[in-house]
Amino acid sequence: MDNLDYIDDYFNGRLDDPQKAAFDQLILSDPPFAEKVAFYVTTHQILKQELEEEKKERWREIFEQNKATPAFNRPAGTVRKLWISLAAAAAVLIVVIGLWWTLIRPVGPYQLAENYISQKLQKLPVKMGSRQDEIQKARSSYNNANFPEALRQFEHIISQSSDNEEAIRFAGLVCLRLKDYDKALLYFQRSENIPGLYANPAKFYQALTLMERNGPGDAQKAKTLLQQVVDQDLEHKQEARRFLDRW
Amino acid sequence: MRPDKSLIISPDPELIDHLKQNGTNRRKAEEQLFKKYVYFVREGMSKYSLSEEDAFDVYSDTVLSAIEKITNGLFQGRSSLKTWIYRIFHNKCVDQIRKLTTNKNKINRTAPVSDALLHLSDSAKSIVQQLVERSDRDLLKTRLNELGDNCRKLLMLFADGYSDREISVSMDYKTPEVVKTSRLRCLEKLRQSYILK
Repeated sequence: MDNLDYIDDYFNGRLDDPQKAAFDQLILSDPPFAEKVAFYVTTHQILKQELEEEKKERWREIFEQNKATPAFNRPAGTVRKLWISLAAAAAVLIVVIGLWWTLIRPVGPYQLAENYISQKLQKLPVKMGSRQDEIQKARSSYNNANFPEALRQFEHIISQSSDNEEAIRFAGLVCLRLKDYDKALLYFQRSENIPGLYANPAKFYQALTLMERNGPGDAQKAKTLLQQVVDQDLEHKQEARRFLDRW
Repeated sequence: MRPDKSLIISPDPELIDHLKQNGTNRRKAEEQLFKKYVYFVREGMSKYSLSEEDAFDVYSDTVLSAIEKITNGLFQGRSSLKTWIYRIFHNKCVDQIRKLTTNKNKINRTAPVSDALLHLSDSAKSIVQQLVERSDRDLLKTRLNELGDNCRKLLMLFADGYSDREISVSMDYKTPEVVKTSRLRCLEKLRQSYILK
């Protein structure tokens, strides 16, 4: 007991330096004392281990009872941050997919032509304040989606003036809207051959018609025409390049 | 739905302060520390491919080690508590993986040398260490369990870091000196039953 008191004082820092040195010496010279020290240390280690096991057991119960709760998988702040990050990533993904879908996604020639016609060829420009000549009336018919009347009016103008490029080109567009592709091509080819024009989009419209018709070999012919529009820096060059990029 | 109050965790400084105390506050703080970073268990499973049991063991050892270090003033607050504990957890995960791959299991573990032994001279330390290794730990455990609840509780509280004064308050002893005497009597009783085998 006296020895245990001494050992307890040593391990709990209650001895001064000379007493500690004497303790050290006693271990070396007195085997029964060394045995008691070893017993004290071993008991302390076992008690510590048992305490740790008890704690672990208690924690294991807490863990098992709560492991399905979010707090046990991620701290609340982290969960919130994770959700914000995921929402931001999802938003970016949607924008990227949207951009890819509208600008980059490869699209067939027919779909490209359809999109172009529905966006750009719904209305023909009517010159404000100009006299209501026959061309203006025909344009109005086109803009009112009265295509048979518009065609009749443009063809009447062409019959009066066979080199009226504007009437020929518009007649071609009316045929395109009426899905009379062969006739549309004839008008656009005729428009293309009119000499001395500053700007002529006929080649681009021929390509557009072939894309819309989408018959055997049409796509390849349209591609060649679009490439010519780009190479020769013709009207609607930007659109032709966009078509070629997305084809 | 009301939040589970047991899951509300104190801020770091308060937690550390409570861990440095003894008694009920410390027990609560230990539990809170365990709950605070318990999601590391999942991390141990996903990042280090440990089983849930191994990851739980590693995390529990991490918390025990952190408590010991905090109690001894070894956490200096140079990094956040989370970063510091995660570093301990990471090292223990690596150790665990190494242990699993080299087939070392728990049976081969040797008990760590008591910190107090480190102050002995090398020759005295070596003698005690050899005697400790030769001890019949299973028998000592059995004798400890046969010791009686009061003695066992007394020894357990002291091993858990409670002072004789704190034990005297919690176990209704008149003075700390009486606690010490009772405690050492219990130890002697244990030693006698152990050496008689």
